[in-house]
Amino acid sequence: MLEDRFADVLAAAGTGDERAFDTLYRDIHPPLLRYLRTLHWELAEDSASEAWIEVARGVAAFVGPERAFRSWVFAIARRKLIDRIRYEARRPGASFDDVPDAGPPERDIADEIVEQDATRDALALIRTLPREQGEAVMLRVIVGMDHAEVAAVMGKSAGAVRVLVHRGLRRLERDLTERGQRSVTP
Amino acid sequence: MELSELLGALRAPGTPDELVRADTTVAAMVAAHAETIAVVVPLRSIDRRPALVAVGAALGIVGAVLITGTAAAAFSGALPENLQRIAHDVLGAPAPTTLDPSDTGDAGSSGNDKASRSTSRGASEFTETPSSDGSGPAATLDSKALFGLCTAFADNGPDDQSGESVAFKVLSAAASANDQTIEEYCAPILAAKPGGKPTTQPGQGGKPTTNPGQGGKPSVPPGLTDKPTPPGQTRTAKPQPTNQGGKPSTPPGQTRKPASRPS
Repeated sequence: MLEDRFADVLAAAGTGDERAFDTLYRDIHPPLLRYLRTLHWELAEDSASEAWIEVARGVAAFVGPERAFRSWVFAIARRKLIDRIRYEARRPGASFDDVPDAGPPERDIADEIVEQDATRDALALIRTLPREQGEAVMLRVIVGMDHAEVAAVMGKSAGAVRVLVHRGLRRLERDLTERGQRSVTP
Repeated sequence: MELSELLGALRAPGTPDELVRADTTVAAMVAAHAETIAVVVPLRSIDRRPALVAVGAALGIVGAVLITGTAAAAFSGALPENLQRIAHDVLGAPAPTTLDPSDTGDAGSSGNDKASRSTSRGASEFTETPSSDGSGPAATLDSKALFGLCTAFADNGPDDQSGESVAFKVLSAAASANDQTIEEYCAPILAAKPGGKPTTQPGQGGKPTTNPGQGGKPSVPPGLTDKPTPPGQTRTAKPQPTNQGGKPSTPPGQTRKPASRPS
């Protein structure tokens, strides 16, 4: 989060300032890409790029605080991903399941200790959740949106989001416990 | 790994792998922003002359289409009477076929409706006029018009028995007045081709005829062309449904709702 700097960066971005775009991108893109990868790993990167182009086109007209800006960016990216899935499926109304997703590539054993693999493993675990639970957990816990903001992005009620987050976290906890027990037991 | 570790890993700063497209994407953002500004700015700040030239060209094209279409309508005789008369004077198009009220006596009082006016024009053109000797049909009806009517009737044959055409009505009335069938009535008329004499009748003011000239007259007898077109049959295009199966390709709400992944 840029917090105090956000207003100035947003104003500069509205004039097309390259450094402002770079600041916004580096701040938001990592959690945005992780969020999209929990939904569809293979199409996430391209969808995020398309979303940033649309953000650049509309940023001059955006008015609001940083949290609202992040919600706006995430909502655009989510829509771009769904558009891509429908394009790949060659039909309108296609859902995530209509386009196979191989998920994260196999990890390189030589890079096992690198931090990005920890992030990748965590994402792989999130992807084992039912999709809506994983999406709600990502937006609420990782991106830091409140329930109403998550609800707006997902098109659900705040109450439904609360339940999804709760169930997702409980399930993650249970899976991690089971995984730990398996690793302890030879 | 505990849950807090997992969430911490997901909140970690961006990795080089995740930011590998940063430079290209930011450059594309700058370009996209510039394009957006370029679209908005010219409306106020750029010279408007090219736009005016474009508008003028568009108007010129529209005008040319209108003129061409009007000329085509004029030469096919499809314009309203007044316009057809102007087109006749200016462009040399055929003169209007509607007779002047002073020529026919009752055509001008036959109502405003186009269809009824057209019908009564045809009928009035062939209304029996006082005969000097009361002998034969050629004396009571314009011989040229009668020839046309009979020709039309003979050409159509059984198809012209609906009773709707002017030719049938006029010939039927004239034939029954002489206790003849239409065929009997027409036989002598068709046998003797009418001469090319003017149609102006004595006692009608001696006004020059407004019928199309002998050379420019359409070959179709007037009795056929004057038949009013029933609404909705040939002239009126049948309305077509404008939205056949035109429901939105994406039902409302689907855009934002991904299908739930099976548990």
